Amino acid sequence: MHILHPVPALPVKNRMHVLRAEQRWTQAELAERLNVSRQTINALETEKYDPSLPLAFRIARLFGKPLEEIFLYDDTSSGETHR
Amino acid sequence: MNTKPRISPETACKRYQWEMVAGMALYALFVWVCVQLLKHLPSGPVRISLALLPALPVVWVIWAVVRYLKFADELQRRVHLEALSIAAGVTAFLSLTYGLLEDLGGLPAVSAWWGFVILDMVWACTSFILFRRYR
Repeated sequence: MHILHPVPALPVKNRMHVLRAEQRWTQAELAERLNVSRQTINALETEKYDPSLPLAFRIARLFGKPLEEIFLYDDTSSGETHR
Repeated sequence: MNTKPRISPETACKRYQWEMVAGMALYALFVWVCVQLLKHLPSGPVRISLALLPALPVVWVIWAVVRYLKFADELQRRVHLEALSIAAGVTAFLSLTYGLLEDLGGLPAVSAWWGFVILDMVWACTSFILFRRYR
């Protein structure tokens, strides 16, 4: 059954873990700054969950970087090919 | 949603848990009070009104769920809505199946109260399983 299986690898990768470490923030601190739960930060950093576009923009704004420097689309993990 | 929530998802979660426990405790208390009072009351409007008393804390619990979902973050909202969808589907399927067995299969009638129990139980179990996937 679908819900019993772990979350499959998502095609969108991110550098949130590295950027948070650079700022020396804990997951709880980052969660507070973004007004989300600590569990959501963990799910984002472990790439089990892709943020909505508004949340992605808030993350980019908080780290002071453009979206594409934080979130990277990995074609190989989704099995898609370039057309 | 463009407006910034007034409280954090963590605070919303704690408040929801407290309201859920308090609401269900009040529900149990009201059921006990009703059972004691209804023992000596004849059928009629007063009895019907008293029998509905335990529904009041349930209304409060439903309101708490709606408020929690409003202040939850997007992952929490997604998990709960997915869990609620599954719970609603399972409850609908079981009600339909037992309705057929009751009307056509000759099985004994079961209280409609079980719909509430099944929905809550499946929702709780599914939420637990879905949240574990994101840990």
